[in-house]
Amino acid sequence: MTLLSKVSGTRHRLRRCLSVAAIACVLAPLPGITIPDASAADAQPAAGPAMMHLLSAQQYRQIIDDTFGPDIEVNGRFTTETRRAGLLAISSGVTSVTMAEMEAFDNLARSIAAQVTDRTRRDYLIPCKPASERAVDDACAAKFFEATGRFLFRRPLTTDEVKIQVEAAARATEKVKNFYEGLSLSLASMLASPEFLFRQEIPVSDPAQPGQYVLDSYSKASRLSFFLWNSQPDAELLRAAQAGDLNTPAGIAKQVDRMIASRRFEGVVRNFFSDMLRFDDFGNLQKDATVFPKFSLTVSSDAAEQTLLTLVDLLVTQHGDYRDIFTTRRTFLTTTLAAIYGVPLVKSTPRMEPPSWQPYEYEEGNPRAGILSHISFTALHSHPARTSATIRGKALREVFLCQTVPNPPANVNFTVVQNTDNPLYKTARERLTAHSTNPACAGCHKITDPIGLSLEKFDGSGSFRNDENGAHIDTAGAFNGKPFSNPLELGKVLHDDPGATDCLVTRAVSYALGREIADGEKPWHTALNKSFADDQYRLPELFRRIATSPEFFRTAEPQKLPVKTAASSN
Amino acid sequence: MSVCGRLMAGLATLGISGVAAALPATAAETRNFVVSMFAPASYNVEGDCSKGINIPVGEQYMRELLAVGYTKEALDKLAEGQDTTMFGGFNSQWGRAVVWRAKINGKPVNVWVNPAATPDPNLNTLDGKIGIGFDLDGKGPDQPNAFEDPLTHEKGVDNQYFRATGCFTVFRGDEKITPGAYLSAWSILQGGMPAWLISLSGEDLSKDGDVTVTFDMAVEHVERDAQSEVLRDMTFRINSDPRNHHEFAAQMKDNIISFKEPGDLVAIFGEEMAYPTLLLRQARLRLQIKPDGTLRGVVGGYQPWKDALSAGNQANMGSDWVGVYYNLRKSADANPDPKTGENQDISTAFFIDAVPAFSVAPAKSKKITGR
Repeated sequence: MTLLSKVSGTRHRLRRCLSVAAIACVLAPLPGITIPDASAADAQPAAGPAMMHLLSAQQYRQIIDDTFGPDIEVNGRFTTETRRAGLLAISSGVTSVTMAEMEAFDNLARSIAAQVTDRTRRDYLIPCKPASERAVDDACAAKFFEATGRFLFRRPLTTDEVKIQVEAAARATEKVKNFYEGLSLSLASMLASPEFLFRQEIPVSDPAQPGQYVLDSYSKASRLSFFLWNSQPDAELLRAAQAGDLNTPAGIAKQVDRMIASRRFEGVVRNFFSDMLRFDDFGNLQKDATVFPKFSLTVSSDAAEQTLLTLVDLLVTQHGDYRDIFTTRRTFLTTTLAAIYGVPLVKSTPRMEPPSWQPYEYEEGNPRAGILSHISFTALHSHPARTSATIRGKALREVFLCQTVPNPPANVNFTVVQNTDNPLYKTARERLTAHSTNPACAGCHKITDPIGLSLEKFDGSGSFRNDENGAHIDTAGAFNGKPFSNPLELGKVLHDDPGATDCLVTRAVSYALGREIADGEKPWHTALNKSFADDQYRLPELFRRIATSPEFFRTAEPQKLPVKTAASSN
Repeated sequence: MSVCGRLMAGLATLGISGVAAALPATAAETRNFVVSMFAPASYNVEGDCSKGINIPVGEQYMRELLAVGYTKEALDKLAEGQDTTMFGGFNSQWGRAVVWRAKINGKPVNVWVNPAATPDPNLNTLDGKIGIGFDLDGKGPDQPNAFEDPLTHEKGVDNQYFRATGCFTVFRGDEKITPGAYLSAWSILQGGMPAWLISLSGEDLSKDGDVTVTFDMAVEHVERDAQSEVLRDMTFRINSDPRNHHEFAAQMKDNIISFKEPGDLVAIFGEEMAYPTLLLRQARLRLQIKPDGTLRGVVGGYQPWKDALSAGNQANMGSDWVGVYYNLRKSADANPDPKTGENQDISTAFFIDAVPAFSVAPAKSKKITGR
């Protein structure tokens, strides 16, 4: 079964199952949906495969917000995402959904549908009124599902699909004697369906290049909207898809320009960097209050926002050079963050309102510049009660240079590194030097520690210090043969390192595709790298070039999957 | 960043000139602080109340109600089902009896508004020889009520506030243990009152020499860190009210900063119950910069004894406020009223702690125009 036919199969199954009384039937056949790992394909395709992606929690919320309005409460538990190749965005294409998770989706769907059809919202969310609230009204139900379904399924519903939803609503209405409750149950079935929960990309033969495959128009629209807005296509994009505009470079460019110009693009930049910089780890971040009393919950929640505001300002608002993220002195602070950074910042509000974000620029001579000096890096990549030059060095290489640093073997003795009270080894550098005399450890520490040690003057909470245990902290080191003496100089070295921009391109393309770059797409990656430099490393230009590339919509020939039948399963 | 750099960075970033203009012309270094703890300097030792510690407030209420005419039977009835270890609230019979035990012309009046309208319970005062503070009157050790300061060993120390309150359990403490009453009051107070700022300016604050000590109130209140201590390195705007601005010429010797001459110190804390306004006449200071950059010291002076009281003290501090009232009044040792001759001020001393902070001068007020 090809991906296409697999999708068709789920549609068919949906049709078979969809009735109000049998919503569980929609769920029951789907436990353990497993989307194959594209990289496991036998052949080396010219392009990567079309994908199915489970909606992320953020995408789900944004879609409900876009479709029904921000006052709909989305209270539910979502599937935990696992980072692959540096991004959570990739994991949604290689995932399983358990029965418990499907049940959670079903409960969430019912909750949302009930809110959409309740008395306070039905007048503006349902485009018609039934002849009687206690009776079936197929015409009104059809009007609602046609209007709403095209956003939820990210394409127009087929006549059969509309008919199924209308019939389901009618059957439920007859039972409960209430049109809106019937409509609600049918809508819940849509929201719990694979058509909604999974972004399904449909490959079609490329008429311009026989033997090649591209996404169909609606799949193109979805790929664009999830890349540039992290949500479903809006009405204009769906119109363009329907009109065939997305089959021409000019039509695509027009839509891409419109989307990048939108304020919603900022949201994607935030989402992309939250993912790339691993800000989901803030959920598990703990600091020892006796060692770092300034590191409160407020600091933890503000730290990621500081970096995101800095990045959006530099890359989107100022249209700046990506490489400057390592050297910029401009940032945004709250008074609480300013206290931990040891800089003055007056509340901007005169009447003691909650502190607001304020732009701030470190003066010359301040040891901070670039996002490596932010709490979101220094504290996030430290232990609860002390720094870790190794963890910071590893994070820097993995996050900003797309390198892979192996985890330490299980039998390593960390005693020397962990004992910060040992009078023989007062600083992290001294402790790591002693630890690295073990040849088994030295190899990896050579990779991580020199750059990690350069950040040692930022303690485990992100505050600045000159000494550790009374000994001066030496921040000198070298990276790729280029020496630096402090974090500011390290930032400049990274600014000029082609590995950093190459990594950004890799992450951006993977984020856009929702999968790792296929071997056949490497020339495209190379070309994007070059154009990124030509564009003075402007992020919106990179995103624009990705979204307008023919390669962005090209897919490999659909692969046949082994068909699991009841008989073969047994 | 050095502390000096902290101020200069603040000035450069914020474009503020007011602070710099207010500094002495010779000041090369300025360090700013926000007060993190301020409490009367109790220093209790074993046996300093030879007549005993005053009984718990609930039992004292019982005694005073008996003294104003209640019978034992009547009190037992009032106490039925009541928590008589404390005031109990205005809605309980017990609470109302406690509050309305004072009488004027035979009519019950609120004892907290009219403490003199009920008899002096003559509660115990401290008669030990050890107490924190300063020789405010300059009379030296040859005074019957003078203490010896346990930290400086100075004799002739005047701290009648400590004598008046030192035998109440909730006011007892020492250098390391802040009395429960003050700890509780200060914690509540800090959440709502504007922060109190201290600035030290001098040529080199690591060496002996002249120092200018400045006190100001801030616009903002303090914030707390993860250990519920006052957050260091926060930025505060200085309140422009000149009544709160006090500069003292001081000197540093052996890392101890002290005023060259006593002077009046005023801090308007706001509407809070414990210290709406602090007025210390002939204030003295002893302040130390600790290795971690914080301040610890003692400030003393003569305080109007009525300022030391508030109605909230009784309800929240677990002491018999009438007893405290009479003890303070009888112990007052300065500023006699020209008409009655009764002293209006009482010698006192406070522990004061402060942590590093940024402070900036207030923006110039803008003229508000009508619509």
